[in-house]
Amino acid sequence: MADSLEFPVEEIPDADSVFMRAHKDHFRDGTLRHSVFRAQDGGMSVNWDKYCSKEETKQQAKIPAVNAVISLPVGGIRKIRDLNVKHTPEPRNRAHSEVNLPDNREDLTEVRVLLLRLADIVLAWGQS
Amino acid sequence: MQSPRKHVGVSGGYADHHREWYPRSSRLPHPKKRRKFDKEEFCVSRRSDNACSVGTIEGPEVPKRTIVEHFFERTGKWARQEEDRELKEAQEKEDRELKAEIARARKIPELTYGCDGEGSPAYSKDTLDRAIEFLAAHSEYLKKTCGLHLPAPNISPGPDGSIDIHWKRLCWELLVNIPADAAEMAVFYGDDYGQQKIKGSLDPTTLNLGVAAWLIH
Repeated sequence: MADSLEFPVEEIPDADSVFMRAHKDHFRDGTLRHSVFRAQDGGMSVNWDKYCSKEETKQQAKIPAVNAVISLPVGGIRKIRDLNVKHTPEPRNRAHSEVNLPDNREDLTEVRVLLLRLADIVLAWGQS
Repeated sequence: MQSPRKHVGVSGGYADHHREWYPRSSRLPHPKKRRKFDKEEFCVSRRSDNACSVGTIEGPEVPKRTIVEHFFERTGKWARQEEDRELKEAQEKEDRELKAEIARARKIPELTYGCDGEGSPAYSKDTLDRAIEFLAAHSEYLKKTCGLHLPAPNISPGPDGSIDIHWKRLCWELLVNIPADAAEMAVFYGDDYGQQKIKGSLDPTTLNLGVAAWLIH
């Protein structure tokens, strides 16, 4: 618990962006699929671009070569239903943040469609 | 006594979109291109920019009006045949694409999905079969009631072992998610990138009229 308080929790401004890894299996013919947006342990892990670059985000993967990096604008995410982006720093990753995804499957389907429209691929998989 | 001219009163000339008659001798340029008929080039010569020639119709004393009617009867029939042929070809293409997509989707359960160790579940053949059943029900309905073919979607792995069926068109988008658990309902969301939205849950083994209507709007 003390470790999680190593970095202060900050408010992420709407103007900032977050990076997220996308495994190559979430692509088809070079196009990103909706399956990339899924919750793990209640939220979707992302990196705040204030403390992490797209290259660093890619390197955090177990196999970086098979992961792309996408960028999502925080303001855009917050405009979707009741989504929010919260800074949840970890001892080894100050940039770590979480997007809360809805539990309801109907809402989640809507959110996945709208999030994909916001996503911008900033680093393709296979590209370092 | 026989007339020195074989075709008495026969007219040759041009007709524009408004059925205005231009005698052949006048060689008047077409006043204005209009899309009264879909096949613009059919009514207007691309080379001379004149209305298309009707030619001379043999027969005694053919009133001018009759020649023009004859012209449009022929051209209209030809245009309709062309439109029917194009529509049929487009629909056959959609049908081929749908079958190809289903064949491609049958490989989803074999995917080594999430090989990065990020906890992605496996995909079952049963889930895929329900997704295909959903497509078959809607495809059959559209063919029988509207004579239309179901647009080919993208079938891809979804979250938690589910299957996503996704249509993305210029004017609308629809995502249907078939869950891994057969007891759960499928869910869907679609919009026209503006105000109109469609959202809800459905039984993937039966026809959903709302979704069917969205697929042809």
